[in-house]
Amino acid sequence: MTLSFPNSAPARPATVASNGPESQVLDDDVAARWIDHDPSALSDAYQRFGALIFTLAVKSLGNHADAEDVTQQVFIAAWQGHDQFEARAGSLAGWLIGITKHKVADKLRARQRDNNLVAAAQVVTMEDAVSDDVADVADRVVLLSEMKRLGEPQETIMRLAFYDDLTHGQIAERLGLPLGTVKSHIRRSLERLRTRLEGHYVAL
Amino acid sequence: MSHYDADTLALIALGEQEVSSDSGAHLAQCEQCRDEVASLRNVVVVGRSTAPTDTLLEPPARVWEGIVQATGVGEATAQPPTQSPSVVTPTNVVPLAKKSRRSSVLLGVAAGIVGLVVGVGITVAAESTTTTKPTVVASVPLQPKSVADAQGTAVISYNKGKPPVVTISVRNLPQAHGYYEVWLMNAAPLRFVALGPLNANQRGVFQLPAGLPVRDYGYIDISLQPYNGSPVHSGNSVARGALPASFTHA
Repeated sequence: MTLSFPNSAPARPATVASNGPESQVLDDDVAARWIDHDPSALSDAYQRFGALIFTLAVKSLGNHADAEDVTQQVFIAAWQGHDQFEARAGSLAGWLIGITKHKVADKLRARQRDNNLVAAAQVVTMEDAVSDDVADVADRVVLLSEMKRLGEPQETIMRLAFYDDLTHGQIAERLGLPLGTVKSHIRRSLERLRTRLEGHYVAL
Repeated sequence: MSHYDADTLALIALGEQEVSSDSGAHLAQCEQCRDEVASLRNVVVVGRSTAPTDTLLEPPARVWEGIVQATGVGEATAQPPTQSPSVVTPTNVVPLAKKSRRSSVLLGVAAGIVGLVVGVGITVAAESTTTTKPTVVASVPLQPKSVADAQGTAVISYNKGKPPVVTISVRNLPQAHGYYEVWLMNAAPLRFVALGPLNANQRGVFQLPAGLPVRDYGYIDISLQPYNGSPVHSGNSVARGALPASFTHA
């Protein structure tokens, strides 16, 4: 019997590694191919992190057209400067976020130049302020992206804990899960979110 | 006094009271547990600063098209630049409309052509998007065998309408007299299908032979092969990864 590979673009099969430790393996693999300038890495990275970068840009700039522009610039600059990425220094997502931060600052500076509102001296100090803002936004966007990748029931558990302020007892009752299961899901999910948030600091 | 267990620390970070037997007295004395709570609480703070309705925004397709144009990646399947909707837009034609009746007829024709060109551009772009984004069906970690530090991944993916490919990347393989060969392997009975050699960067992309009964092969195996002209497995496996059962029995 041969493997059946559907011809139409399918919903991802159950074996796809979008959650759990395999997700990290796949991220590592994309990063390894990125270093090799393997063209498949660019489309894989865009598929994986395009929404994250675009959302970060939209929320930092408040303007879809500028955000599209920045997203494009980030992937093009990252691809052309692929030899500056070192997997050991942080995650590929973290590196892309770092580039986004600079492109957002460039865009805001250009806006300010256009408006001709402030003196050049003030412009110079702006990048620091922008960096803080973008870093905060980046935290939230990375967290949202990672929440999606926790899988179920972890994502639902963490949503109930974060947004509904339910205790683990209430969550267990609501979802009909054993207390111990909910507790360990909460702990492991928080640890994983922490790892991802730290992963992008490294590169910033 | 013993430390709190990790689950308890996570619940405290979320602000739950009454999860410890001593009502949190240990925390007052233990810097290690306090640090862990503080570190997890940072995550909770970020989590609670988002809103339940917050979602990631997907960039429109033209963003990827622009990246393809600028980098040349996937260029073979992307539309030629002259057919790009961003180059030929209806607004470029509008001024014609005010000149004469004949011009407005021309405008109609021109608009029709533009519509056609834009339509073609979008169709081609949509196809190129699907062909440049492979669907991953399995990602398998490669574990060390005879080379203790060997690590890597085997990713099995396919593009629409194309046979599946295996993308291998391995780290920490030493320079050796010989070459590294990638195999599909079955343990009992022992069987191998040679997929090909890794390149100098210890990577390779291999098409799976069409019609091959992949379910009969549970592993991806990497061997060190001597330059002796023999096409059979040397018996020296340096790394190996098990294909998931759900994949091999698909």
